Amino acid sequence: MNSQSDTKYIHYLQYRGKFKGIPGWLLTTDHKKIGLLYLIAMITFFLVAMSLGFLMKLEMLKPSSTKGSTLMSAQTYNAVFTLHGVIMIFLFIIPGIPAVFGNFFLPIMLGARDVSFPKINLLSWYFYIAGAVIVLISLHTGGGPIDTGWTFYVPYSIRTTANVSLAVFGAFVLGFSSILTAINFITTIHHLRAPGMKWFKMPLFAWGLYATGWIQILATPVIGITLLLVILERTLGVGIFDPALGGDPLLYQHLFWIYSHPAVYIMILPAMGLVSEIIPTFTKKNIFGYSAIAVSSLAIAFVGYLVWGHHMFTSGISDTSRAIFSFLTFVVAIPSGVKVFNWVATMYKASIDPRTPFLFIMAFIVLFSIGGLTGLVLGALDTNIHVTDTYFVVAHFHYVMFGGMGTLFFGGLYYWFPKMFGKLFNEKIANTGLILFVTGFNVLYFTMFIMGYQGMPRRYYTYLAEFQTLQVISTIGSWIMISGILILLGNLVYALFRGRKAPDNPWGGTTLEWTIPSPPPVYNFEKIPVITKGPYERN
Amino acid sequence: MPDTKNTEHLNYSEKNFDPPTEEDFLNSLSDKNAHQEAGFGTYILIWLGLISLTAITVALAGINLAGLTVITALAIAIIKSSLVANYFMHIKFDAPIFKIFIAVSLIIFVLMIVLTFFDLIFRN
Repeated sequence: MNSQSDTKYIHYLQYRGKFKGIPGWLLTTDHKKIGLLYLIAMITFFLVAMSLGFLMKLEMLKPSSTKGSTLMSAQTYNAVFTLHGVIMIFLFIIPGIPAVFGNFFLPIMLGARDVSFPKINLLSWYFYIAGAVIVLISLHTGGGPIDTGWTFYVPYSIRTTANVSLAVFGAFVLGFSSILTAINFITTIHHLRAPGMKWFKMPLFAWGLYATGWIQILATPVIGITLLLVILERTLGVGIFDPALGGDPLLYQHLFWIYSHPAVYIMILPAMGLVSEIIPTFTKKNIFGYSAIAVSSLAIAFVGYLVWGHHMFTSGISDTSRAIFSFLTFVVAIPSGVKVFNWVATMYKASIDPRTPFLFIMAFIVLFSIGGLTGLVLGALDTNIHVTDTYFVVAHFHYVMFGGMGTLFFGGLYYWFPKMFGKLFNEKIANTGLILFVTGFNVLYFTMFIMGYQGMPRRYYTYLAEFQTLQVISTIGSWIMISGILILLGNLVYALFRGRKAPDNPWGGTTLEWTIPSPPPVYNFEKIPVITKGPYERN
Repeated sequence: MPDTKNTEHLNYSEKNFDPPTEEDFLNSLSDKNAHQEAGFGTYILIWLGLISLTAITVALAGINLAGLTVITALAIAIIKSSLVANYFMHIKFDAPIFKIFIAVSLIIFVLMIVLTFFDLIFRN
């Protein structure tokens, strides 16, 4: 179908429906435009939260003396790390890949013209924006910016004078966005696959989104109810969590992590699906162990429900449940390992074309493996006690979340950018940005492993003088990393306006999105394709 | 709930290459595709059953059953919710895939409860 690009067609960015300009965007039901709406919002939120992270590291350049604080007060620091966490987790990492790339590419990869419920899809975006706006309003109303950390732990979140109620209500509203998107994707995958596309002929990115969708539907209501209970406890004093009123603060932690641990897999499963797309393209090979990768996504989603207690090893839960949760935590490493081995096996003896998106995958595998292996240190009961609530934990989840999902968000953007916008980017600049990003990342976060092991607690606005050398190195790392990110983003913005025209299939991909013109036509396919072979099979 | 026994209007992709039209949608709502479901009388019976079970719950609340109180109340609640799901929410008449969805959700829910109680029961 490559000949389509020679003939004249209207692509989705040229299409003018009932409304023009901004209303045309705000009222669109085109899954591709909705994906771009998410992309714009998310990059904005990401840059805001990144700036907050930059300020936190800047504060850590020097320990505060008794004469006064350096850059910010303790209370400001509390608000800054809370906001950094809330924005990154709830507005970027959790919805990131499904909302942007899932929306844009899932229907195309399945051979469909849109998702099952296009209007609900747009509604999801409005819930997302509404949630974000509510959080924003909470900063300037009531008792001011929330200072509880992104986990909103009781009893502090019940007693602080900061505006907790409105901020957690924002997170509650965001949950609707997540659930509606998941319902849309699951229905689309069940009903709108092209003729001949059996379950095990679906691209693996779709498998990742399918497993993610189920977690979103089954786990999000738990956090929704829990956050409402926090609001009720604050306003009416119902006494479910507050020990002073006969409540159980550990119940809050259970309920919070019953959602928030599976949420870790909401973040990473679509990212892993993306890896399974990019590797076959640049190794020019069929993926090794297709069904093992597909089923391991479901296995991760299932076992991921059963490990939440490892966030509570030092909170006072029973010894029996600590042993059970520790064991289950090790079990979840198995399906993750299955994926990594299959990816590596795909690369074995392949004629690898190390283009920019593939280099992102290399960065991902290194960073995610460090994050995963240090996760085992945290999952083991004895070592967990030593490093709980230190920089070690902070470093671990930045390696897993940022090194994992964050790297692949940019990797996905670089992989699909020519398809989304029909423009090519400068690969040399991209590779320079990526090298700076990975170098800065390791300087920033690896030093945090060392400091954490030595006992530097997380969430403190100052520190003992003995940590200063490592803190300074870490802060310099943040500057290197941020410059890498700015180069990566700037390169794409430049390409958007000045880039050369992209061909339909610049990387030699085999999935359906590469069979249609760049940028895609309004309804994706002139004729719905008939699928006769696996997604990564070559002639 | 769409009629899953007659899904011609949804499986367009397997029949031809055109997406469903408005006419297809209206056809799907017409009588020939009507749900195979319980009759009016059955609904009344289920409703009466639910009312009776509620009455039993209220009555039992006044009797001291010691350890059995919670178990009895939960057993009645399970019967009531399965009646509502099967008849009023049509799960009994829907395709097996919906039953699988519900079974998976229930299994995960039960596991959440069991794991939480491993903490509560064994806590000092």
